[in-house]
Amino acid sequence: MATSADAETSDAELMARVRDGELERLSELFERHHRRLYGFFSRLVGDRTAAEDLVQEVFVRLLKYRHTFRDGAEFSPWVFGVARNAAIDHFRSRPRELQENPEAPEPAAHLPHPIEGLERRERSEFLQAALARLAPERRELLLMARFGDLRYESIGELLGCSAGAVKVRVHRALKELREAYAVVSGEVTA
Amino acid sequence: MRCEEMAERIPELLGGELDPAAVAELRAHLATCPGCAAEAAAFERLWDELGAAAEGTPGPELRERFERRLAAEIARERRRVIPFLARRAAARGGRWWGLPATQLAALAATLVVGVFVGSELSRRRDASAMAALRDDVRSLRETVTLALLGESSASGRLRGVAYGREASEGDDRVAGALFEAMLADPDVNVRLAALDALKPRAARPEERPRLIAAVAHQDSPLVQLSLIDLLLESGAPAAQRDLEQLLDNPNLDPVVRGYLRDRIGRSL
Repeated sequence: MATSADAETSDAELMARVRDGELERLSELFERHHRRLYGFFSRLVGDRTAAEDLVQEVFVRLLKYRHTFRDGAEFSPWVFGVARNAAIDHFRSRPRELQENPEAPEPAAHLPHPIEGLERRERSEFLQAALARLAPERRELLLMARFGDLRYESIGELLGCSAGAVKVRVHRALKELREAYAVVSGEVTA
Repeated sequence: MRCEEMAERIPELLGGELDPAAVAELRAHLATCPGCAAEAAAFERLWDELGAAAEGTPGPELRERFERRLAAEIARERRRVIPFLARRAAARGGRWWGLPATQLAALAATLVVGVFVGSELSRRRDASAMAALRDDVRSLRETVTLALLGESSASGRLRGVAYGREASEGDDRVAGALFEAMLADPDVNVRLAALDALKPRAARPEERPRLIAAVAHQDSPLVQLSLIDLLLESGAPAAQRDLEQLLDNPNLDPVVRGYLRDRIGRSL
């Protein structure tokens, strides 16, 4: 996850301070990263309340497992490892939500809207429906690449494969997403 | 560049992993290949769209929930850590090796006074002499506590808190020094340990006003939360009333305000 250029303390330094007892510094990490994590989870689960619960859960886990953060480690891959595990636990308790759903319902009506805000909302709903049609591992990979601000090498370490393999999988996932989007938005017939 | 290379290059482009020369090379290919250009444009649109959260932005209540949870975790951590720090400080205070010069001097003074006490005991075997000696010992403890609280190292000051803990209930000078340490010591752990040492005095009505004032003036939220705990756990209804008035203080840290509101709510 990117640290703002003018930030005085890096994410990793802040996390090290939290680990060493300055627990209140977690508040700064929350401020820097909760929106990005919320974006990741809201696309992954498609539900505002669940996404907020998961963001909260990630930061609780950061606190709980702070002693496992090593000096010299990068913060973003570590926090997204925690986020992945939180998501896995979430879906484990709600297995139906994770399943690939080729019949994911198309958004109710998509008549042209004169208001830009509504159009944007409609595109967002199409995209959410298209994501639901992807295999869970593709969906997760794509969202991690988009929201994690992780280098493909780091994603490869998280997933146990090479950076090259991650790039090829992201490309395939994008192609599938584009095709699914075309179907749910009515551009082409399934 | 060949079209087959796009499978790796497009994710690199979207992920910002291409250097300017590679971006220029890719753009040059896209300018001459309509198929790849259309695919890249579609992917870039999807990538931008993906970047917006499905459910808008998180509401302010998410931060409030997090801050409340963090405050509770910090309070729990403090309850676990402070007794440990105090025990460790007390244990280390019992060894003379490795101590700084001021502490060695304090220990030497203890020894001298001890010898003096022994000789005095043998010489003056009456009750008034015993009372005088108790005063001497209390005075010594006070001296050692104040000397250690003036140490430059946090661990030295923690030892001072450990020495002063026993004396604080009956010795106003030691209590005053601990109160000062709780208010403004540069190290938060020393402040918290000092507050813990002051616990026996917290139930006294005359102590309450300055403890309440300390909540408002303290710059460490962690110490503020601990003060709130201490005051509420003293069981005095007046302490709760005074704390409720703090909720109207516009300068109160929002995290502390949330925690205070929760605690007061729970104890109603």
